[in-house]
Amino acid sequence: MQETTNIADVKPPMLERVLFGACKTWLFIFIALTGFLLYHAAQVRPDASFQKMIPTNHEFVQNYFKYEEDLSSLGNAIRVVVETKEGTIFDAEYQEVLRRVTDELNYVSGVNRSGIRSIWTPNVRWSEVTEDGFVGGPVIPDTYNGDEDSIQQLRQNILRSGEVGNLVANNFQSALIYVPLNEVDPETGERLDYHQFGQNLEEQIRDKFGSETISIKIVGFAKVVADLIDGAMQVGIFFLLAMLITFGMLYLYSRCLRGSFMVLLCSVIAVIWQLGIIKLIGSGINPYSMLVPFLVFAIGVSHGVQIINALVTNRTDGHSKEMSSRLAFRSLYAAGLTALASDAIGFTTLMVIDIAVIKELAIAASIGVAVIVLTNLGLLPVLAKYLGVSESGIKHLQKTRRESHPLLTFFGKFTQPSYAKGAVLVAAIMAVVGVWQAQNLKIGDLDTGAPELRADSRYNLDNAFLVDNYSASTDIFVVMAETPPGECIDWQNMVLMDRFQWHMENVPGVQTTRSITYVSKLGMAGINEGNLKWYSINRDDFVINASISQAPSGLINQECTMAPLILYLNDHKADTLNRVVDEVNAFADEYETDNIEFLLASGNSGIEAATNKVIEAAQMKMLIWVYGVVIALCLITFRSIRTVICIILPLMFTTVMSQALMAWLGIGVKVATLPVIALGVGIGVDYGIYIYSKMREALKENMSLTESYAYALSKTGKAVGFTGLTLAIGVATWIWSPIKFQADMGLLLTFMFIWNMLGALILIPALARLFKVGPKGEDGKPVM
Amino acid sequence: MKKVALATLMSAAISTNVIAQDYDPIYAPSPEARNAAKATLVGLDQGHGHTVAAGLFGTIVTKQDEQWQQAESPTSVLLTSVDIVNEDLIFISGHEGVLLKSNDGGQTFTRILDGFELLNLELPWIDAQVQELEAAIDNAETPAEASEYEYLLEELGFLMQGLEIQQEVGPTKPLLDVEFINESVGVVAAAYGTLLRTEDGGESWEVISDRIENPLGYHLNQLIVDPDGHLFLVGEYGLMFRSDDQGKTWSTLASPYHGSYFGGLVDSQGRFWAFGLRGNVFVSEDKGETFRAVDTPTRYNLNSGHVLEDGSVLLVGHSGVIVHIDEESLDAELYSHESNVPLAGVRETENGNLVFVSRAGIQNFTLPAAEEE
Repeated sequence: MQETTNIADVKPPMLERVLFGACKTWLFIFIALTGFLLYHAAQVRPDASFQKMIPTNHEFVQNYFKYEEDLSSLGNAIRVVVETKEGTIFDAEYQEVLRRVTDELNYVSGVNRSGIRSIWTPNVRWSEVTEDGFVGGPVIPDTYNGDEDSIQQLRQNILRSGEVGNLVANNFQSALIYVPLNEVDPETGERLDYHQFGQNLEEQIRDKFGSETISIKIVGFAKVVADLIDGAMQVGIFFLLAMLITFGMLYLYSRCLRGSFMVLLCSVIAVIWQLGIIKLIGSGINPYSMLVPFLVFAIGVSHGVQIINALVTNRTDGHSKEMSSRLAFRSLYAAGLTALASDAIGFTTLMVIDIAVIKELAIAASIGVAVIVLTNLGLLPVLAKYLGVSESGIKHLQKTRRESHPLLTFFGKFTQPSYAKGAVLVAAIMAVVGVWQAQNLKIGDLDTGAPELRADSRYNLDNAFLVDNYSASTDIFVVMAETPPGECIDWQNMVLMDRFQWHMENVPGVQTTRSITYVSKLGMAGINEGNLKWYSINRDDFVINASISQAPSGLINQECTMAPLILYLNDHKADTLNRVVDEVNAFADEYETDNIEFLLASGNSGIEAATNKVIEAAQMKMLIWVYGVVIALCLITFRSIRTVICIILPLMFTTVMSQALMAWLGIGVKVATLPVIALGVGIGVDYGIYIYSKMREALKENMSLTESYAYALSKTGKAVGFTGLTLAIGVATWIWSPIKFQADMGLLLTFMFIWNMLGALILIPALARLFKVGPKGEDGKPVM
Repeated sequence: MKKVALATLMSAAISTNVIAQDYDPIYAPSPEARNAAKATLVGLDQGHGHTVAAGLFGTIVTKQDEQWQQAESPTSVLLTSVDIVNEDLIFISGHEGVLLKSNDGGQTFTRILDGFELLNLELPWIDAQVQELEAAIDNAETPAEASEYEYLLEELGFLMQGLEIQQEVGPTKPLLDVEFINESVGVVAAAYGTLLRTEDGGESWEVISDRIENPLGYHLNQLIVDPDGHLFLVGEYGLMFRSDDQGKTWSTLASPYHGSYFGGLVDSQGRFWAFGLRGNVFVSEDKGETFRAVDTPTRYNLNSGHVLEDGSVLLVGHSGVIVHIDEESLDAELYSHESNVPLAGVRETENGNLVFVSRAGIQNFTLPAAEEE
């Protein structure tokens, strides 16, 4: 593939002398390092830290952090639903199960026991106004014994408790247990291990109590994280699968078992190094950056295959094992370094997005690419020096050298004017359609439920059940009303909060709202015998105090400087979130005083609104950066604007088409999919660089465009095709990930890698033809 | 203590030092709302070609061609009751002493009274009361008579305290019901025993709280006028009064119940009904002199009632409770509105079709009997 004949005689470059001068030492160092890093890599555990997935420097998130502790009692809880599939909950057997589940939850570590609420906990009470004042008691009658009378009593108490829709389903076929969690164990001081917690829930609750008649459903942020980590662990299987397929392809391509094995080994070593290093630098691996080992592996293979290719060629040409290795290194290290540098720089542009998981991904990918330089440009040739390549590989190359692959002949036609015009026209039409379709591209998550998981995942089915059967939305947007100390429930602030809530309840997409003002109004009616004519905030602060004496915790903070105003939304689509943010700001602009500020935002939807804002702002910035970098790189390499256009236009075409694909498939621009474009462009440009650099070699020799492209295809066509396919396979296995965003990433990257490859093979020659690239220009020099 | 309280009161009465806040719901126009008909609505009236409901945040909605439309409202306080007097004249009572009036059939409303003005009406009134009682104590012929007046003066102290607090924090007193007998004469019932009367269509108001026997200032919940011009008033702790002279003077009725009445009505036979806490319903055939209890199958509070076209009585209450009572047998049928929310008012739109106001706004319901037809 590479031109090797004339470089055998030049003086070996310094790097080669350093590497091949002390092969054994290097081999030892490589083995030692691999052992050391393997030890650390083995300790890498997927971590799904919430904080890393959000833009921590965004104003909304900063506001949230300010009151994170005060809001914790609102936020981190799970809901365990116990559903009976026969009859209703007014049944002694069912109630016994519900009681046991409630009890058992006390023993799941991580649970804040004092906060558990179910109809079986004493903190859930009914109350009623009688002629003699308030009467009330626990919902479970003191005399409960499971007989008909006590079940009847229980039914009446539930109806009087106001818990229908909260703790008891509207259809009376299920009840739920509200379980707040301790983020940090108050006794041991350890952080909650979400994965372990999720497993405990499955074993201690779902497996234990689920039966033919009882169905257990578990919903809550902690469960999402646990399921996410669970899903992420399956990614290991995908990695094995990708390795197997790649090995098969390597063998098919080279027919050299030894060579295939060496490439695979070096690429796996690259992954081990990459994982070991990120563990050592204290960075972690998250469900997003898990993509990186796949990319590192695939990029490693694609570069490794070039080395093997050169090795086989050199052996075929009659060079010794060592000389073949040396020559392979000599001919490839410069090109390899350039290509890898472009990948690395492409990844680094991701750093402009201020979200930790994306930054981690950028760092991990850059490290990975740097590691490939060592393993696949360093270790691989050294290994090959000792192992050599097999005879079958040499024979295969000898055979295939003489014949042109029919596909290459096909791609070669695109330098002909009619094919060129046709291809560009088709691409232009597709681009126009793509741009039009991409108008529908949305920011953020578009699916209901937990967007991280698939719509048909057990979690999201559980979640849908909860939304259908209880008066609850799981899309929660919290605005924090901030006041001077001790003034959070002053009348003036309360009436403004109350008006704010009504303002928001009239915003499309807002289902309902809750806050201390709602409790105060209910309390006022309660004090006045339940009379709705009193359902109002009282001007007298003493009366307000009395009205909220029964308020659940978390609706004002300890210092009375903040009251969360909770908005329950229909969904978390970007349009909805934007509208909510705009309306909050509009209200704040009109009504904020020196004593009250309406701060955005908390709750899963509030944080998502911030993420969307950051993503939206970063989208253009990232595209400009990544294209800027790639264009600069091409300009430096080729010093020709025409060339840059020929290489960049196909990339842009792919970008547009992948945006159209996203719009068409309903995949939003989000934390997971935004980096994909940068990765696609960063890696995709390699094809163009390989092909064009070979074309230029021929053009310089005054060959025609058609001849030059045929030359380029013969030299790199197969490698480009092979690289495209390896990369695509590396990420395609992700499409089966139980984690929705991993599947989205896999799908988009697969699409981009293949599309980029086709774009390079078809559009580069076609564009070159249209731009009149050819051997002779007006000044007698080749036009390139 | 009594003297001190009085002294403060007097000084305050001279300089009303309470001022409106930055944002004062009394004066802030009601927010225009997409979901106005889903706001908490408490007051409802129908007649003279209008259906008008009112509630939280000063929201007023009127029914126009089967659609509920929000009317402009000059206040954001909770509105409690609607009285359609004729096709032009509509009154609405609300919290913090707010009373609204429309002269154009509900197209526009103006605020004709607010809590600050009410405070200025009540301060001289209580002052006069105190003076009258003190004079009575001085002129008492027996120690027993004197101690009787002293007791009343002491009770008045509670009302005074309430007014004092309002002077500090602003008006807190909700008007709970408004009822006009004709275009000019109207009565307003309010919390803490406040009763107001006008003879000039609301231009000026007289405090007549002293004309009912309510020394402890219990809440006055609803006014009911019958076709003969009798006026009934029911309230907290079994309060029940009747006026035969358009509210000028009131007699205390022998209440059959010591719990609270939230409302009353006069049926097609001219019988007076009162209902309230825990499903209690009483009916009187002699203008409230004697009562008999109506057996209802609910223990929920009954908030409001209406006489249907067929003469039957419909009562609504908490948790979506609907009680339909046969006029003759007084047998009660119990229904439940699917929303389960507290219902605060009811009217019949057409035969058996009902409209409610509730904590969750306008609700509709069709009686099963009407459905069959």
